[in-house]
Amino acid sequence: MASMTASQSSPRRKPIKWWNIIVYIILSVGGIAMVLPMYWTIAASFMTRAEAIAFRWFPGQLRYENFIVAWEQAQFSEYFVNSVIITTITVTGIVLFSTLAAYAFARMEFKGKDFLFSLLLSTIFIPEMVLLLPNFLTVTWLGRIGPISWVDNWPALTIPFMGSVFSIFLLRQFFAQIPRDLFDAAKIDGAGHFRFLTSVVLPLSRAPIMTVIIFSFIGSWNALAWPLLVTNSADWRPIAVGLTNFLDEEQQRIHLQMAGAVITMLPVLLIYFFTQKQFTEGIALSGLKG
Amino acid sequence: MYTAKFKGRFLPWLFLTPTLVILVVFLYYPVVQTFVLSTYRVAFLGLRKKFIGLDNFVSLAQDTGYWHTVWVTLIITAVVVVGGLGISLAIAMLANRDLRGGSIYRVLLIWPFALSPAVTGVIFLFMFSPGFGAINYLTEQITGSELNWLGNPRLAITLIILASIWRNLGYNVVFYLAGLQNLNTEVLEAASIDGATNWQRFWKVTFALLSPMSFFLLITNITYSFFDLFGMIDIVTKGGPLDATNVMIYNLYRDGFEYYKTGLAAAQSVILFAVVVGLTIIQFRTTGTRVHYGG
Repeated sequence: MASMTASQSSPRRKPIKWWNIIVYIILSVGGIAMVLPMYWTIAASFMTRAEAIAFRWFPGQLRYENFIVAWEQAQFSEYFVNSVIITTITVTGIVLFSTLAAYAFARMEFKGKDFLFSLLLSTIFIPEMVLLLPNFLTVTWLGRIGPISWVDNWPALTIPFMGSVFSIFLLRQFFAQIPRDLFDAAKIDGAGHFRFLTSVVLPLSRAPIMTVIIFSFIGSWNALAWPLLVTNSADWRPIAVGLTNFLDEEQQRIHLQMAGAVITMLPVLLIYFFTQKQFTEGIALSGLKG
Repeated sequence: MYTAKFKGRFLPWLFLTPTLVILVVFLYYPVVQTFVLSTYRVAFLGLRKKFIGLDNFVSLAQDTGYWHTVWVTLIITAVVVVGGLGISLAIAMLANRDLRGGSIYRVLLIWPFALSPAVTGVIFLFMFSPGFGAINYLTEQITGSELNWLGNPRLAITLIILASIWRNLGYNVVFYLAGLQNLNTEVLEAASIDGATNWQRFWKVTFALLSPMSFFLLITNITYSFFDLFGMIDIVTKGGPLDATNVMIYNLYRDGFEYYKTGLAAAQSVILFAVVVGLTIIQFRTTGTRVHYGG
């Protein structure tokens, strides 16, 4: 890579500095276009209502109280806690179940393994949106016959997401690359599959597991259509649904809406900024999923 | 010895059970159930149903409203794919050089991809709102009259398309940059020596060599436009004005859960399944099994 960029800026290209300036300008305009929507949202979340509805570039003074009002009056505290609980259960389930399944596909021999893996892969593109209807019927039915209600309760919001073909595929590819020698050595020491998994495979697999955590966190936190269907009270409503309700109820208080939007996206943005490298690499990995 | 062998045979299935149970209940069964439901007229959310064969599909085919949603979906998809990928490739080509701050630039570009379509919707609704939106204000300054972004069908579609391109841009650029950095520069140099113009070099060499990448992005962007627009449309336009942004997935949701036409909605799911199957086959054919089993 380095040699390639070096050859591009070779002496014979030097005279055309103008072109570089034009490129900088075009790229800057593009960069600003990408950031402006975010800037306006954050700026408005610190404004008074009057400022927010009268197009201002900067708030007169930073009104932190918007966040307090949204957090308390608009029930964002409740939605936020709900989302934290739902996301924690979902991510834990995905990591646990996907690790086990991926290990079975990568390291164990059993009948019908190839068939089962192909079957799983062939469904990797099916979006949850086209399965909403039957799944909704299923969770209402499970609630009727089971000991606890599924609708407007944690099971409907978490369990259906715990079978993640993408995560299984990603982890399987990584587990399969762990040298066989390590497994044979562990076997001689008397370790079974379970101990090999916990003491050798997992410590080596921090990076792909982190990728699975990041992507399932973002997916779970951002989910809208399904939680919209299976919640009907504030008890379990996640923040994405809370935000849409808030928009419908509070059409006038734009500054509070923006504060709500900022609260909603903050955890995802924090994850993104702290795991940037992992995030970008994870996207590249997801590119291989098909 | 026997227990060890038994355990060995039993253990993989123990590891697979949680995943398989969840996938059977929430992925495989509902796929089958969708096909079954599409042949029924269903009332009261499944409590009463009547077999009607392919009647749901016939009514969809005769419904000009449904054809309209197909048309809207195709328009949005086409513009998001062609426009979005075109802009992304242009930015990637420009950014593919030794520029200062290149890594910061990539960070700036890709973050909208972490946002939910719903939050993207809130942000764009705010920017384009009549009366106070920033873009609304700026376009009024430029054109002299206020554009009714949410009330005019064409402008509303434009708004949804702009928001979609904005959200996917960084993702596309990251892939194109990776593709450009892996290009074989010798081919480009050979083309220059052979007297190819810049224009020819771009189309016949760069663009041709990038086509696997373009193909992958084509599929992800089509998937986005068909299935992930629900949140944004629900928040920004609710399918309006005059059904101008009523895409297939939004229409399905409303038929299923607002009007309780379960069978009809299931038939619409089956139609969307055809799209998924098509994309899956194309993707598997083009990348081959190499990626899947090669590790």
